[in-house]
Amino acid sequence: MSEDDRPANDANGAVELFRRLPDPAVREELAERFMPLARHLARRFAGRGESVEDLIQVADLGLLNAIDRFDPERGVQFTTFAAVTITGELKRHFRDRGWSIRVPRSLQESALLVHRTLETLWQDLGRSPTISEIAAGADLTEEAVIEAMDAIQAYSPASLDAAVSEDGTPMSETVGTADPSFEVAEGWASVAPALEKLPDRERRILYLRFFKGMTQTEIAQEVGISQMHISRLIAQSLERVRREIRGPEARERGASEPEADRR
Amino acid sequence: MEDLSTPITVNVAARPDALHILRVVAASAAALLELPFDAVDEVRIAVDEAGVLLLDSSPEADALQLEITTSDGSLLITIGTDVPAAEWPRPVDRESWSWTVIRGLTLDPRFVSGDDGRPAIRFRTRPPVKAP
Repeated sequence: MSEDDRPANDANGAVELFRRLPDPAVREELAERFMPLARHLARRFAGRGESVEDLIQVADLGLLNAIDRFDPERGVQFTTFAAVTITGELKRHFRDRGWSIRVPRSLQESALLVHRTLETLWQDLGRSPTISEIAAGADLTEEAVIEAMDAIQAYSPASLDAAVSEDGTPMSETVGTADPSFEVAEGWASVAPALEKLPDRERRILYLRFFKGMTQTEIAQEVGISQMHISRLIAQSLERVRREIRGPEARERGASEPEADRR
Repeated sequence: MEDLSTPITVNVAARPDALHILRVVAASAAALLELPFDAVDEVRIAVDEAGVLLLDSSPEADALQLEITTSDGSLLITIGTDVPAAEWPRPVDRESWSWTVIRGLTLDPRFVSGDDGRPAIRFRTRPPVKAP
């Protein structure tokens, strides 16, 4: 194949190689060629309590899956397809291992402590405690509390892949209870379909926070669950809406920037 | 309550995995002001969303800069990139989910242009509610 005949995205003549699959030697050659991409993506998930070696193994497996499943006739760049597949594999890895493995033990312990202290103080004070109050109550430094806050949400399964939902709420039910304010408010109208996919409670929490302007503490009292829970549900719901509306866009961009890095 | 006598300025790589540094710095500044947990939590979210919006909007940027000052007991937070943009904000930036979230969580959010038209986002945190 001459240079000019190749698709613009196929600088290495990979399309030709894909046509020669399932030849094992070709599969190996492709794996080697795109290994830097897998390594790159693996490293982006580093620092979450899993060794880089393990992550690279997972990413390499994702790469092989991508090679096996790629259809060169569909006009999608292989790198795009592979990035999505590999990122998906890495996210699934974290999700399957559970929180306990992703978060370093020390951080896990302080996160738990912060969580408990926050709940206690919240009950005792009847308001959201300050960071210094939580630090004093948990016998941690303020820095440790802030790190723990980040850990609590950064490592929540929802932030790794909010799109995977256990939510089986039928659409008919959710549509009926959607608050009309969501539909008229600027900026929110376009995400109405995504909001409707949220469970009732989560949608209600977003409504109370963003449209009623209630604080998390007030919402916690109104909804009857803890403030920490409200905090997590808000972060998770925002992320779920984002994934819902960015799905197609993210796929086009190749998902080279894992959203697991967020929040 | 303390005020920041000197602005806090932090530069990080323009990468999603560097955003946690900005979140933690902003949360620390909010803690200095004795903001309650929920307000600190939302500062983190808003900073994160601003970072995401800028990364989306300026893929060519090498660095993100966070600057924090205090004004009237709330934080004035500015997050920008190091590369001028031809158009800022683009319509898609105004309509983005990140912007919607930032508008919901902060006061006076605005798109601003720094030196040489470098895109930035600025907002204030909600003032702290006095403990009863």
